[in-house]
Amino acid sequence: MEKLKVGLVLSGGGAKGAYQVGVVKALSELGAQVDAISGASIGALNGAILASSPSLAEGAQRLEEVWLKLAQSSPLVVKMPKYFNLLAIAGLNIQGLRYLDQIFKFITNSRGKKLPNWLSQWAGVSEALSSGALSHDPLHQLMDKYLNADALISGLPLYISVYRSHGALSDIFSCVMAEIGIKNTEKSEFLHIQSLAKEEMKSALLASAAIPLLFAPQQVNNQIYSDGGQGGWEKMQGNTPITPLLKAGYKMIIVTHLCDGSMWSRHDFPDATILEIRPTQQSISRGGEISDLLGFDSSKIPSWIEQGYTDTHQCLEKIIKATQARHELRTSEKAVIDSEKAFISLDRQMENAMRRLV
Amino acid sequence: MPPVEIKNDVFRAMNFLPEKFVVDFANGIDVARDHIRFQRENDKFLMRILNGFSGKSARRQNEINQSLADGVEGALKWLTELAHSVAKTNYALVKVNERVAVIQKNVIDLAHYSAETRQKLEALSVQLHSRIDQLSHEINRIDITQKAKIQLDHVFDKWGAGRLNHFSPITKCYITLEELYWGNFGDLCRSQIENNQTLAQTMLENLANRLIQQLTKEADTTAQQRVGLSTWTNQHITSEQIATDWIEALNYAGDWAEPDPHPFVFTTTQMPNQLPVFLPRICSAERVAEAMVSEIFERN
Repeated sequence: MEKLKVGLVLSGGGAKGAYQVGVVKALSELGAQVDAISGASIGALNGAILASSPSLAEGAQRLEEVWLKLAQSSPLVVKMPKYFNLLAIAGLNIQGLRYLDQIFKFITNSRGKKLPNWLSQWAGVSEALSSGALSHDPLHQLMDKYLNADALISGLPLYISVYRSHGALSDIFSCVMAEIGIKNTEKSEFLHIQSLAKEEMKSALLASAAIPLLFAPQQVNNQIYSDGGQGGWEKMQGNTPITPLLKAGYKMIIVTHLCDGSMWSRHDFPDATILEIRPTQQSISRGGEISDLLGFDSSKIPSWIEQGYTDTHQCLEKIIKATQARHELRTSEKAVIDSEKAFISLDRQMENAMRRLV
Repeated sequence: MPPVEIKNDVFRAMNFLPEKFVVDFANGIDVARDHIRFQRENDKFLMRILNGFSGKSARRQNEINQSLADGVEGALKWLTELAHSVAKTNYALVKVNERVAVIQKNVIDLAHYSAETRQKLEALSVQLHSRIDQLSHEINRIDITQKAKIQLDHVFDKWGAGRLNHFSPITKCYITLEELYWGNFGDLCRSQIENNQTLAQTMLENLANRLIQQLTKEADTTAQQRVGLSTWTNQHITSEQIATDWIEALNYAGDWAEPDPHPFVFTTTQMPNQLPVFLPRICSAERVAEAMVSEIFERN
């Protein structure tokens, strides 16, 4: 029988990505096999560590190590000079806030275009927004330490979702519009990491996790990309990137979610066998969505890891029991049929023996 | 037959044998619960307005409904398969029952056969025992007959060889008959008197015939020729001491004889001065032989 190819989808969700550490750990313990990974945002970063690891168990161990380190020291460092500059501009031109409406209108009408010169007084704002409030340096350092590019190239196929950015404010605005149901965001694009040039791999991973306004978008293949979780907002097409795995022929997909009540729907993919791991027993949110998104602290990360581990076990327990029950049913059914075959010869022998008595 | 093995690491096996409907069925419960819990925890007014406006509420409800519908469909499929499986098991049970019924019938047949065989064996055993008893009796009878014949020949050969020449013919006759009476011939004769009188009669007739033959030789007469009693009673013993011993022995051996019912034996053994009234003074060998056989073998 042909072996089934199993794909793992790691959704985006900022600091809640710690949940995926528990998921991967539990999957490894249960003997699951993963042949390819697809991730968005923090899921892409987790996926990169996992894909470059020699085994799922080793990957789980490395992820736990990274995340426990993140619990000790947050990777979110504010770029102080630029941020102060932004605040100074905003403060000095407080009356200029009335122009903010015009800026948004401009953004929505001319996506991808640079700000005109008449907004030069907002040049500082534009620069500050486009480069992000937070520094990529801590993430770079973590990636340098824990991510081996060569191992990633020869590792499991890794797909990440990225969102073609139209500027931070525009991207945020699109998400808000999608959230209130007016207009969905554009679909995210998917990059096969191993197909990229070695020097672009880290940029692509950072792009997938580049939350608008917080992190600067990244240039990959001459395109500016930001957080892949923004695409296809209504159905979380970008945040839960199953599509590249399905296109690559993976029929059995394990999907991990990082938010409560994710609107991603398994019913949109009727041909695949999808196993969703959703936060079950308790809400994954600890202090509100935004707070949790950036909540890289020691009070939350271990509990998310634990929750991911527990939820995966509980989720899989149902499948395992059900599959085991069917397996036993079929095995016992076959055993009944086989045992009956054994009696055919005995029946004949008994018949012959009894005939001799007559 | 080996016991049914149940694989524990089913998740590993699931990689090879995934059943979409099972995964959808079991996992759909978690999905529906996640949406239901989210609905319950986000029921504030503004949130409801926003979710209603954005269409999320409807989409979420649709997801719940679809998961539940999938679950019901999965349950139906599972139930159908289970019903088929139970039906198969039931048919298998029917076959087992049929087989048990056949075995039961065969066991009953075997039990009857066994009982009949035992009865036949018992009857055969009885027959065999009876037959063996008969054969045993027959062999015993043949043995006794043979021994009686050997004894008969032996005593008459002894007489014919002259071993009893010291005695009178009638004493020879008495000694010969007494030896036969207490030996195998007498045993056979007595047993045949009880079971087969004809044979006993024949034996005694033969005995009388042999006596007649011997007596006629002794007296040089014919069987029916009557001669004087002294012809039969004359002794030839020369030694007085031997004669005395023999006389005492004969007296002792024949002390059962009475003059009237056993005149010949009484005369032969007790040697009375006055002969019994019923003793013929002249008689043939035939008369002597028959009288002596009758008196000795028919005594009480």
